Amino acid sequence: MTRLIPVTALLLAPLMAQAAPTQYPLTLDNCGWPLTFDGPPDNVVSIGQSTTEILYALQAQDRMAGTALWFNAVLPAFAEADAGVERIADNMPGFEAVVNKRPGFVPTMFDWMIGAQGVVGTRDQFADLGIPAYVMPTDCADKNNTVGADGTRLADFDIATLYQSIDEIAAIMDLSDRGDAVVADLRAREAAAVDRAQALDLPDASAVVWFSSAHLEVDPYVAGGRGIPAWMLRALGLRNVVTSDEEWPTVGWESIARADPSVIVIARMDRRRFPADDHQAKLDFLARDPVTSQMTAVREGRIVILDAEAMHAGIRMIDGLEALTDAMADLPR
Amino acid sequence: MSVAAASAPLTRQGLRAARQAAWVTAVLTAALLAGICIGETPISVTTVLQVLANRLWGADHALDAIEAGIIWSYRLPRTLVAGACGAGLAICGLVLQSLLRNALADPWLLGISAGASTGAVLVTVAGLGGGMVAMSGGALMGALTAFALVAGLARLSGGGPGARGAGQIVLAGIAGSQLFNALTSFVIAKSASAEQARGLMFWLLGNLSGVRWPDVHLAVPAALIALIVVAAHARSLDAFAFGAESAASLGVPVRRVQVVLIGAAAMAAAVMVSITGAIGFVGLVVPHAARLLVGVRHGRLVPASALIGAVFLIGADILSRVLIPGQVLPIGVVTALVGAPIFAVILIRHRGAS
Amino acid sequence: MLSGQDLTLRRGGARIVDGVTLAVQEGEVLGLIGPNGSGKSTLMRLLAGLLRPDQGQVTLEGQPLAALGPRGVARRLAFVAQFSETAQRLTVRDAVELGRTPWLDARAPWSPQDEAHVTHALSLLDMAGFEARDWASLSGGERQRVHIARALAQTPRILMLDEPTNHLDIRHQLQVLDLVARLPLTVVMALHDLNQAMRCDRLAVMQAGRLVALGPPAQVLDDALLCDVFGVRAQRLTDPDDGSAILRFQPR
Repeated sequence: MTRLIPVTALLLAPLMAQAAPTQYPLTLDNCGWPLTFDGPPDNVVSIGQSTTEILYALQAQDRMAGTALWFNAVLPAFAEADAGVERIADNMPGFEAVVNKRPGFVPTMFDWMIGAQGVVGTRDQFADLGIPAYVMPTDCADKNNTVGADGTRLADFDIATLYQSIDEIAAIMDLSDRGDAVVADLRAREAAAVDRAQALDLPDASAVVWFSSAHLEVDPYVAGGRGIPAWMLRALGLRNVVTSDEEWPTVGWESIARADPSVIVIARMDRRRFPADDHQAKLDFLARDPVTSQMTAVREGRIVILDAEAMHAGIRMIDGLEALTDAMADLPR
Repeated sequence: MSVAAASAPLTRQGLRAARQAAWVTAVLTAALLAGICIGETPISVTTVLQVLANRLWGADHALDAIEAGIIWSYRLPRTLVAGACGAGLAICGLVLQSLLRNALADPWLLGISAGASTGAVLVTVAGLGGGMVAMSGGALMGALTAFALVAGLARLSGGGPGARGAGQIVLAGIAGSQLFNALTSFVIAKSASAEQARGLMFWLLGNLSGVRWPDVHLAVPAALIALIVVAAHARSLDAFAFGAESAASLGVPVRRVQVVLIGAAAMAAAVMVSITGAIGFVGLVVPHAARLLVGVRHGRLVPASALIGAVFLIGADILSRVLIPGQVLPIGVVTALVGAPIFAVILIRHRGAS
Repeated sequence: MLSGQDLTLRRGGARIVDGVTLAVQEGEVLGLIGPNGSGKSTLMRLLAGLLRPDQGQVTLEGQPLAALGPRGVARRLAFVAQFSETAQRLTVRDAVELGRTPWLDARAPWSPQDEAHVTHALSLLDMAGFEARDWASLSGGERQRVHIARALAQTPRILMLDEPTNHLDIRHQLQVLDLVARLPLTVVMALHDLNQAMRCDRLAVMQAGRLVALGPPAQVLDDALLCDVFGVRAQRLTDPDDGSAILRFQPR
């Protein structure tokens, strides 16, 4: 119900913009790591659905050799593009499987995939083979990825890092005109959503964003105070009851219930690793548990279901922002 | 002690038993109250007592529903299960230490907890239902398999009583733990993400946050059954002081006692692991602490271990909730922080003894 | 009293004990001798019911051991093994109290009679002042005496000792043997020292799992047997003090 995807704008956007072609060799600073590109890269291997969908939005699929780390089905608008690109792994790809594609560029959405301690390979490992490995600044700028299960933010997430990521990927691929168009479109939708939300004039409202739990009844992991969902809440004027700087901290139900937020946002995802991945199981738990069932948001039915993919830094983020705004408008006051 | 008890009139014995019962009740009640009063968020003691009064004696205090729910549905079952789990693991450790005549025996070190985790995870994944009883059954199978494997490996590698035997069985335990933890990871890690670590952490470090009343109805009877079965065999356990042959020469039906006691210990460990994940060092540390307090005779050592285990784990759970404000540590981290140094002390002392 | 008929125990194809028939008579001190690996300890364990024979049967006071059950056996027969150690911080009294185990259960808790048996056993071994001592603080001789006290606290009718003088200094060796001779019990003990064996009422000689001789020491320990079983020549000397025979050994 919230997956409203005005992708047509993305597809049409490139026709309207004109930017200067990239001058090679291109050097850029990627969260402290210098990267150099001698020419437009081919055989791109993208690790992470958000990165992959940005490349599809730039219509770069013909120059891609593989994708990995999928959370949900690809956006319907990109299904055709995706069909022509090999899926190396649904989850984390092996180092050799990636380098075997002789990639000219390996971008990722998560620092822990190919950062300093990357599980696929470290930046050094890729640099030794002359492969530029790139982490989207959404996950490495102002973020310490060695603390906390999914890293810890040193500053509030800034949507500018998403636009910077798209700009940089577009520049590397020599597709800056398409990149500019995509960013312009996202910016416009972001502004519109924020305007609409502010028009709602929500009173001092608070929220918690429940992603999943390792077991249904144990302490859940929820959106931290400085991550991407927190940015959305802030943009809409909602206060996140969770203040931890971790990206996805584990917080006890006792603390959440005592904070008694006015809205509960729960994640919907295709993944079924934990019972609580199922948003229906989350709803059942909230209604059944003797404590959470007493929370204001549960009693008054102010529960918003949001796609998990919209909580990652990517083009779906703005979909998430719009969906959240719509849901807030529909909530019982 | 026994000299005085035997020559004293019966009334004095009765008096002493009553005093001990009063002691145990007081200590347990204090620990339970502390567990209920201290939590992630501050709730006043008055509120806690009013909730208990409402629930237990039908009083009619007007209370915030969320606060009352947190006390009655979160903190009380959590504290009760922590107590049962501490007692069960301590008894399990004591039985292993006495039967194997090994000061380092512990369900966690010997890989029994890891085996139980694997069993519980397999039952869940195999779709036999996530019900607590099915999971406990799977955990029991895993625990017994792990014990058989580790005991066999220790025997093959020349383990027995004494310092070398102690080393061998711990080495065998490490091998068993690694194997079963790897199996658990293999089963859980169907896909890669930082969240995989979250699923594993539950089984590797223990977690009491998801405990609710149905868990109490499983954990408390399991701990009580283990306590009663083991306490009934206190004299037999004493007779194992000089080994199985010596026990047999004292008229102990060695094989039967071993089967019953290892079965009870594995059952206790398996039920606890299936509810809370594998919590380390309780079974190792608590019996040693109990020996310091009440001596080596099992008539007193068994109940003392159960009591100290219960209080220790309730205390560790409280610590896990308050050590870092706003964040709950896995309970296994707290027990390891306390237990690992004590483990080191036992290791060094036993080198001196042999 | 205690007898074994045709006792055989195999381990990995070898017969550790091979068709031994032996009857222990009431009140006697029976010595079990033989070279290392001749099956003495194993025969002791078969007779004590600690090992189950592959063939043959042991009867105690006319009843098969299986019919008596472990507790029934332990009330009549006490066994002291050669090496019996503990890492636990038991006191001497704790260890001796273990001897009462076969007499205690839920219906028969610890009583003043048990207390008296323990005190008596300790005094028999001159250990009355040692009760509170830690096991770890005892010497080898003291530990052996505690084990024997523990066995006596079982109030058995038969006491079985596996090389009780092993690892003891000479004074304690003599002390243990004197004590055993004084006890109003039937005693079966494995011995290494043939001169000590001379003090027994009867000797049973084991060789390669078989019982090769049984009778009074003077009769059993003849030149042929010493040469054949132990591989030594012996000269008989007479102690001028009491006229008892002493064996002096030389290689064959």
